Amino acid sequence: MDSRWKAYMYLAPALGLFLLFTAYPVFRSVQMSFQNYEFLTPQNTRYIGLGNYREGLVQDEKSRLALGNTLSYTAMFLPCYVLLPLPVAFLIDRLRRQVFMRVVTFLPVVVSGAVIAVLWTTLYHPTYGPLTAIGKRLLGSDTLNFLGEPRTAMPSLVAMAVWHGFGFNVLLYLVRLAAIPQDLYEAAAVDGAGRWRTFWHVTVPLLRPAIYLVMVLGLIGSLKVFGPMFIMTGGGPKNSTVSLVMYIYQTAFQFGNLRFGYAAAMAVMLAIIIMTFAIASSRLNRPVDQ
Amino acid sequence: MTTAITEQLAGRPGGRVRTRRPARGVPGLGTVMVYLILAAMVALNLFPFFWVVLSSVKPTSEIHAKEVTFIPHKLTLDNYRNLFRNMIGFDRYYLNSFLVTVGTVALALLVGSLAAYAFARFDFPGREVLFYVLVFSMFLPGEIALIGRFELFFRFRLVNKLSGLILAYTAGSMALVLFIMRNVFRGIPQDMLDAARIDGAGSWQIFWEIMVPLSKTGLVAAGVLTFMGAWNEFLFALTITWSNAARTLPVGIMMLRDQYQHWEYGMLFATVMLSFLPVMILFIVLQKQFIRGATAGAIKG
Repeated sequence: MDSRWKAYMYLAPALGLFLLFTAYPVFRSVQMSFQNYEFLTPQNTRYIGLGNYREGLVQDEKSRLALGNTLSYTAMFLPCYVLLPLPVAFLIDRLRRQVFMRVVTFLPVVVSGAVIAVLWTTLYHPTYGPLTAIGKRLLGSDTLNFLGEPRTAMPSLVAMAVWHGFGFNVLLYLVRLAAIPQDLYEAAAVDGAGRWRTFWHVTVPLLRPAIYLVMVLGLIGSLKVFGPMFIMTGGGPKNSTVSLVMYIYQTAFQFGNLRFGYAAAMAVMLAIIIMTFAIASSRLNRPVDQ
Repeated sequence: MTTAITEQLAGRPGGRVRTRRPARGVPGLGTVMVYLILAAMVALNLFPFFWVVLSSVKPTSEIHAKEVTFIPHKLTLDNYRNLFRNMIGFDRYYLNSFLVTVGTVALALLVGSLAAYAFARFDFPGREVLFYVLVFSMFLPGEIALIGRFELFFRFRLVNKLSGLILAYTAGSMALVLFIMRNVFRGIPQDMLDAARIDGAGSWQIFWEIMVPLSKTGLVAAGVLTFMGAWNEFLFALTITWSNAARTLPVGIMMLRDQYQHWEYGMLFATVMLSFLPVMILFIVLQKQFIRGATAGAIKG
């Protein structure tokens, strides 16, 4: 048999799965985004041009609120997510035996986000939660409800997400630090560079690709955030924690008519935003100092 | 993004013995300070888990006491006893998650490696284009496929079924397996394949007897990533499952919380504890492979 046909046979299962379960659904989502498709009454479906997009961007107040919530989540989440693991990675890198620290740091990462969210609900519980008890003592106040107040709900979700992703980023930074050739440090020492100069001129530049990577992954992850709010606050209080993906989910599967067309349009817009960031970052990402 | 990817993959987690090094890391901190800061970090990392473990052995009266306690005054296994007597689906969610994850890992590794073999070792028209289309799909956020997939699954009666979840997760993680395994397969020396061919081995035999056995590290890394993806997935499972026959643990644990938080808070702690403990033990046993695989997977956007 011709080796060309063999190749296609090895490829066939993957290609079949891709076409059926990824390519076709994406095509359908895009198509639906131009229709007034409602899942319960498909017979009324017709093309409405950019109607869904206009609704999402201009008319619908709640979609704009969801976008605003998502952006404020991102603004709080991203700096902590990128920067907090850095000093810890530097410290662990100095240790000779790192296994224990690596394992302990990574431990939360292997637990699924939903279990973590349920766990943290108990930490934030207004009467039985230890974080609430600590907070009350620190603030000297009798009423503290982290997830129940619009002012504290979103930051509380951010704190959990930063905690959950922390170990993964420490490990990424560590892997990168361990890959820095020892020669560079020796060369810097020979040149008479002090510790701080070595740090700024050797360690930081060589770590930059990893920092960019964490930034991009964190950005994409926070634009897609869903689980924490769905599980811990249900979008409340007063819609202050409804994220974009949560609103897409509600539009498609929870509110009345199951408005697939409109939900698909919002999903397409989200995908465009995310792909733009991914492509833009691949340009930023070129290593300069090597 | 590819530059960052290859660089990230090139970095190897340490474990090598380091001799005296000039000026590495952050300067200006004494050893005592370093250990203090690290100890604080360890405490912060483990505190939520200790809270659950300790609360799960508290009697209900203490959980509902006015003063929140961290260390239990009185130990009891009542919560576990109650949980095992009346699972309300917990065991089912666990089994479902296990079956879906094992099914996904097996299928994604098989399908992804076969495709990787075609891309790495064969020449055929459309090879480059197909490869880039598949890798590009890796960067497409799953949310855009969500609604189309739901409709498709509904029509094909794949909703509320474990097989439906396995197919969707395989389609979602296969490209990553393909990407990792193509690079691994390319690194296998051509001489070995030529030698096998002279001995009369066909390409199918070469795949199973040479490619796969020589790629264990790559398969483990790809497997860990697929495992984490399938074990943790929430949104799609939430969308297409609506009975205990198909609910996975991430979806199920939310249901259990809603039930327990009214009448048996203690059982919630036992449930959470049993949800994370087995994965943690698995991780500690396989920590090297786990960490290597997971950090290699930073490529998945």
